[in-house]
Amino acid sequence: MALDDPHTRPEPPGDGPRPGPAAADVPPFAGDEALPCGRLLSRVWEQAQDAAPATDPHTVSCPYCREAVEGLATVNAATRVLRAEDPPGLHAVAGRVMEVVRAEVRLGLLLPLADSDRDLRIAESTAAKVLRQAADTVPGARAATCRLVPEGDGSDVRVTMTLAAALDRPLPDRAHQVRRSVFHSAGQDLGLAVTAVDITVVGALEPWPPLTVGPGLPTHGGTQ
Amino acid sequence: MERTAFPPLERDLPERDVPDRLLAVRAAEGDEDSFAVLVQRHGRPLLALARCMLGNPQDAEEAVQDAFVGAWRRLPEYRYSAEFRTWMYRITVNRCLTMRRRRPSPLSLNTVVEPATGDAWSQPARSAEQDAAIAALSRALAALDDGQRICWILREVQGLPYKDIAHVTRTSEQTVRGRLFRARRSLQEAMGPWR
Amino acid sequence: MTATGTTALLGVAADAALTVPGVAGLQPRLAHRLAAAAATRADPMPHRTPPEAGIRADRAPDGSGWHIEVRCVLAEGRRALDIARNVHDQVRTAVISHLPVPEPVTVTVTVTRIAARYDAA
Repeated sequence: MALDDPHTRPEPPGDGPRPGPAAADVPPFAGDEALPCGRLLSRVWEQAQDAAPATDPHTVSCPYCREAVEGLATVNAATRVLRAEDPPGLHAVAGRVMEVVRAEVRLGLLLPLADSDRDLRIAESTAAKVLRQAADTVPGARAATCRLVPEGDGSDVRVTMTLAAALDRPLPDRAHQVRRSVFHSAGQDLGLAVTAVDITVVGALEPWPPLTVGPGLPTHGGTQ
Repeated sequence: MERTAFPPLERDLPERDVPDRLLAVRAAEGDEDSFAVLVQRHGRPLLALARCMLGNPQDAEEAVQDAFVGAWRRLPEYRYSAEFRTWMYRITVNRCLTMRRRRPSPLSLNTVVEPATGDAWSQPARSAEQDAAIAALSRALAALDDGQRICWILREVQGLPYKDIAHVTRTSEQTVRGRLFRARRSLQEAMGPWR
Repeated sequence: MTATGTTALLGVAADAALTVPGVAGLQPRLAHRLAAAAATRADPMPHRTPPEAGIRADRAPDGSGWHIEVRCVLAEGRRALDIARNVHDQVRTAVISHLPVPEPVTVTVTVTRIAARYDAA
């Protein structure tokens, strides 16, 4: 696929600890060996694979270190090809997964729709999905959990929702907007008699997808 | 944004810009569409991982399919102790290990990977010698012990940080680095004739 | 009513529900869904669950009349309550007119899913 998608493209490693000579006090790995210059082979390789090239003046000038690093060149070249290899098709796999998922649908509670004469119900998971979408229409708000419970003997329903919200505006303000949107959707899209919408903001919403600069895999997850 | 570049499933989903953690919460409550976004978002690297571990695309597809279905079933108990991505990697790795134990399928000697465009190694066309070198890498990889192979693939092919690899393999970063070293050493020796 | 009669009743109810605008399909009950999933796994050809799998018909405990349960998947874009009402009334009317002798019929409509545009097919 031609898409430049940060989720799917493996990047060359560019993170993690970069133990150089300073890490020499860490016990060596089993099978490690010291080069004639005194450096451990494992550390020289780590440095070469993890860090930007030529950051350590010793490695650049030391013939033993250079030779050790060059020893990995063939493996690295073959690895690059392996990395660029097209993985098997996601489309078919995703289709089969979703078929099983839909067959194992989790309905949740069955809630009464607002009709006093007929026996009409809607699955909690379906109603929750619609109400979450209503919450998501408020800029800077994204719904997390959404639970619905019947109240009393009639068709009244109470909604409890948690939100991730951007911090650029007062939270009560945003929660109010979400509540209004949820009430409206419950009446307009579903026909549920919602009596109350309890909202708790549980996390800060960061921009998504995260902006990544330079190499390295994107950071996943936007809330705490 | 070039919307047409997205596959249909992902393009039309309103959940596309929702972070993993929220999608996982929603999926745990039965929202299939949120789960579909997670499958789209993480499926490709997981398939690449499974292919590296199992050596062929058919087994990789089966492993990833089973991993996602297992994740869907376990989501209500998933307590977000790990990022969804790390959790999925762990489930997929375990699935691959089970499949390997069930039917230890040696990597096909004829496994030939598609050349990457723009790679000096593949321009203009890969030589028979290069194909042989890549087949040698695949064979050497298959000969590593499971722990070393997993660490090497997650680091060198998938680019995961040491911390995440430690999480996926339930071990320490120090152990991950030790396994990486031994994996590099074995692979280097196996690739000796192609230097 | 004989077993064949019940099957015919299920078919009548399914047809009535499926003609209601906004109904995208009927939700097969668990046993049917599992059977379909197993069939798909063994055989890559798409497996079709009959629409009657989304209907359940029970005799009232005292034998006086029928209770019908319809589980339906709606298409996005209309109010769920309005479609459910319509399904309820259409199914009830169709079942009553199908019965050879007048009997009381109660209907429960359950909306199990609202299909987004991309998976309505």
